[in-house]
Amino acid sequence: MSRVPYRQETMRLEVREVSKRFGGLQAISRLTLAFEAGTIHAVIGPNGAGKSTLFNLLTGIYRPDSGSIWLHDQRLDGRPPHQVAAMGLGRTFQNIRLFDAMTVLENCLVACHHHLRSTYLDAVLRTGRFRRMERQAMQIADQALVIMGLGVRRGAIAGALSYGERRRLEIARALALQPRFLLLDEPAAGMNPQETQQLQETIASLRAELHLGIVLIEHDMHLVMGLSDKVSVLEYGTRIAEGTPEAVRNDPRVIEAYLGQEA
Amino acid sequence: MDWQIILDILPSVLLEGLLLGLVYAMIALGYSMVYGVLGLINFAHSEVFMIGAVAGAEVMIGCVHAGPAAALVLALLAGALVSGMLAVLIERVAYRPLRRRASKVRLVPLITAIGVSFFLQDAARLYLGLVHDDFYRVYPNFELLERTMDLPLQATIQGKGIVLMGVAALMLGVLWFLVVRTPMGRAIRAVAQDREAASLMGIDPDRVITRTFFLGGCLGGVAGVLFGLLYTQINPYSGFFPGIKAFTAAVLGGIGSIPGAALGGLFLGVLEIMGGTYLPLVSDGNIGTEYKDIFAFAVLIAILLFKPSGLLGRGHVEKV
Repeated sequence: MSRVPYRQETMRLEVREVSKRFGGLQAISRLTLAFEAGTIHAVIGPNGAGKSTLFNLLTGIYRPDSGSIWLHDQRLDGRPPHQVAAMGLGRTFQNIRLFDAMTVLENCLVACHHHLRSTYLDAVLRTGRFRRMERQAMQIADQALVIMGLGVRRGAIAGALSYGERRRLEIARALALQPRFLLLDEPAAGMNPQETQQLQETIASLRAELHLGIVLIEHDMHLVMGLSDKVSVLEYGTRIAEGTPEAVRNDPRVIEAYLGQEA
Repeated sequence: MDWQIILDILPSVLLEGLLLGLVYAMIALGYSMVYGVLGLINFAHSEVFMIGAVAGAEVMIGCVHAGPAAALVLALLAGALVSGMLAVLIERVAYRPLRRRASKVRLVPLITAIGVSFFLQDAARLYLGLVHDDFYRVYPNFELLERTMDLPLQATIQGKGIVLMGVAALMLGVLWFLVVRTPMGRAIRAVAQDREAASLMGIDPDRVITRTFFLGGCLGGVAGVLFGLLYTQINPYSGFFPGIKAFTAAVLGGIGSIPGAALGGLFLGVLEIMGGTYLPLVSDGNIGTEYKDIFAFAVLIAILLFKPSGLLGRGHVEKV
């Protein structure tokens, strides 16, 4: 498990012919998708289209029944979640899952772990190695907090943050992993228009400055259309359309999928 | 009934309660930390404590000519390491395979824990029988450890009492430091709060669980040696009562809470010694010291009735 060089312009996260079945439900069927570094790629679709299942497959929570998942030239499927995370996939959750009893800073420090290697003895004796690593982790965590506008809240208990701040801390924590790809599961859910606007700017700057590949699941179509370079539409676990936001918006199959759901 | 006596012996009673309470606190931490990361009551922990005590006795008897300081340090180290490794082994052999297969059924690991508990009791009995042709081990007497010192307010303390306090304080301090101030501690707390989210942040839960068992085992083993030092005799069933009282202490403090376990242990230790000493006095000898064990269980019932999440608990105790 080696980390791929950081600024790899051609870095891709690929899903190849992946299927996943839960009992009688075919959640994902023979799905093929490719996400690229430096782009914001939205995955949309009606409820139950398999979007969250896709995230769980990508991050190693679920194993595909068939097919494979690749990051650059390394195969991801079959690896446990902590390895996938260490290899460069950071994610947030639809229903916020912070470590509520920890401080804001500690939440991010947890995500720095995979590049820290120190033993009990290092920690108790506070060896140079240990202190160097802690300092390094602290820097990474602080940077992530500043990017998400939480620098001043670093000492607060995560459980005491406002809803918008909690959403942002989730992203900061994922950034502290120093991921190649950032998977955002409905980051704007429950946010007011101003917060959503702010979030949109932040996400755009992540793409530009960190050259991250961002995979976005979102129901706020305004955000999706305003932010994405590429949109893939899922229905019943398969891709029914893909392209620029404009192209997808006018695709008859997409309109049917959405209207069909409402009718 | 003589109130003056009650008042006169109060400092001694509190001190003795504190010593026992520290032992309970150290065991309780093992229950609480494992519960924190796994949601499992590791009932085999009382036997981890007992085997630590046996290991400590063996080393101390073996090193009896090396003097009290060396014998003590080696015995404590042996207790910590043997128990720590035993706890890790139990997790690997008994709990981990079950976690992979029957993760939804919480009763399964609980029953397994009870099974492991019986297994270890009999294993210790077999060992003592085969190797020593005996049923128990006795901690050696060192004059320095038995020597009594006078404290203010007519209280006295033995050398071993001072040792117990020092070692326990050190262990609790180191544990606090590890959990609050180190990456490993953060990982333990993260896994305790949300194992899946922690794994998605790059933390290997199995590694954290192993370390938690090791830490809990070490504390239990050291507690075992200190307990042996205090009460001198250790047999294969010596773990049962301290174990179940420490479990009570962990529930009292709020299981999963580390300060809660320490606090609960101290409270229960003091309560037990006070009850055991004063009950015969206030009842004119009608109720004897042997009823002291009632207190722990009365407390357990009371918490479960009135505050099931414990004093410092987070409010989800129904998992057992």
